[in-house]
Amino acid sequence: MMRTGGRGVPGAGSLGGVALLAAVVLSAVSFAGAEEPSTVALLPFENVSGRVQSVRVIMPAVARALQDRGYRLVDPARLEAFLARNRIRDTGQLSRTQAAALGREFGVGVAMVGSVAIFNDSAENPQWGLSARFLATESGAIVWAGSVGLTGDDFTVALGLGTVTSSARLAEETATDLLRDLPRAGEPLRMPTGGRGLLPRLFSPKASYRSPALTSDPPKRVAVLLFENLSERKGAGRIVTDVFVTALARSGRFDVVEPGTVTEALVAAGAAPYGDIDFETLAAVRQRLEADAVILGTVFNYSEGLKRTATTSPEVAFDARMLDAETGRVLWVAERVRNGDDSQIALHFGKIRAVVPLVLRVADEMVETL
Amino acid sequence: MRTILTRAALTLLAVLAGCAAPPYFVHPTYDFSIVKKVAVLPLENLTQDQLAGERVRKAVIAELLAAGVVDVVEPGQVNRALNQANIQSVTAISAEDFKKLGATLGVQAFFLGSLDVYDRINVGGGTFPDVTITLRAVDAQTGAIVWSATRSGGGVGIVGRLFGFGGDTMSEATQKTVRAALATLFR
Repeated sequence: MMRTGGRGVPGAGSLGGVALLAAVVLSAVSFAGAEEPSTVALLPFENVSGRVQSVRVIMPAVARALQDRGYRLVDPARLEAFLARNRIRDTGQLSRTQAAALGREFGVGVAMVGSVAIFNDSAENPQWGLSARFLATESGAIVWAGSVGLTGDDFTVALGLGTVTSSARLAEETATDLLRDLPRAGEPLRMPTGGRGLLPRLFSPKASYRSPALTSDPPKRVAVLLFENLSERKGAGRIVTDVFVTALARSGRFDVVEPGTVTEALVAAGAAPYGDIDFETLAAVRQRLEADAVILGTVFNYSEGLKRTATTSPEVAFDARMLDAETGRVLWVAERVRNGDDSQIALHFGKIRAVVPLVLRVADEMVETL
Repeated sequence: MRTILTRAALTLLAVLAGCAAPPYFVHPTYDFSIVKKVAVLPLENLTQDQLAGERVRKAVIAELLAAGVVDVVEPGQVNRALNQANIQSVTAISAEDFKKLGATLGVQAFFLGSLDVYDRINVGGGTFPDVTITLRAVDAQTGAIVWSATRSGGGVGIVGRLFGFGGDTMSEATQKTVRAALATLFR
């Protein structure tokens, strides 16, 4: 797939040299500190894939996909200096304080953070999985979120034709797919909603428990804590947390606190809840985040289906529960075990080959029962 | 003649005992209406799967809440109380400990037990879940067992035996088994 790198202000090309000059001036103004909604601070994604080179391969693809949608990017060298100066190591999330500092430094209204869940650099069947969020630098609020994953086999049409075997090309496809429903630069940023169709919802399993309080007095602001990881895959808790945040934010029903802000509040409270929470910590979370509810979870199984001897389908099992931040009462409990083949209709139709879409599917199913 | 009749009666009794529903116990005089809030302690895991105990504990919590009869304390708070009371093993909690924990957590009863089987069995080319749990409720004030039940679930049906597919997933089998056990208390 051919891509045009470094596209400037949309529509500037038709005005020739004058427009080019205007673009340079605009760019200079944005770095001088004026607010420019079309400029994004793209932070390096956190690497949870276990492959060292994954961020080096995917970030240029994400940058190009953003530029294709008309966004301009803050100079990566300046951004790196800012991150080092402010000792921001975990670039996969951003606290409210850090987002505000970023906004002041570069005069940008939004920052993009994300994580690489999987990079399988295999010529047989490469695979990528990403989660990303757009954050408003002024408030630290999540204004857009997406999670996506693709394998080379997802492009196979018939008789093995069309299969993508290049991980670099698949990176471009995955980045484009990730930003597919991101509003173009200049358009108002809004969370795409809609979710799954009515039929799948009807036949979807119900929550294990749902308190009537969720209907009578639903929580508005919800904090998702890092999922406990009891699977063999290192980092699975973080991957599922990121995807769950995506599903919850896209449901449009809650104001989801950015995980970076949650981490900041927990560090300030001197607590690190993992899979469960005591009431003292819950009270601290409520006070510092002004959250009405907290979601906790545990990942029991996370298999990317890469071991050819065992299975070629991804498999996940995790649970989640929502607690009332004030009373500590359990408001909702859900658990799912899913395999990529579960949704297969006939031949290969309906089969989920990549692990991130499978996690997103499960998270969507769970969130629907909220 | 009497010997024959006695033997026949004993045989019939043995057959009926074999066909009886799995055992459960409900304290005949205990007033269950005083139980408004309970805590589920970590289950004793007698299986090879190290994570199964915590999974089934979560299923017990969910099913207790779903019954809509009692409130359940967040397991994190329960674990904290166990740590503070320096209780290392849930199999060796004294009546005095139950009383103290009950006061700390504000609960009237505890649910605990063991996960006896949590596995997948191979039948007819397919794999099917096999779950057996033993649950009991203990009164927080006295430490007395007021309810106990053992249930098994999963297994394989006719379709599974013939074609090697069908049946429940592991989580469905767990949920159904826990629900069946608790049904003996809430019925």
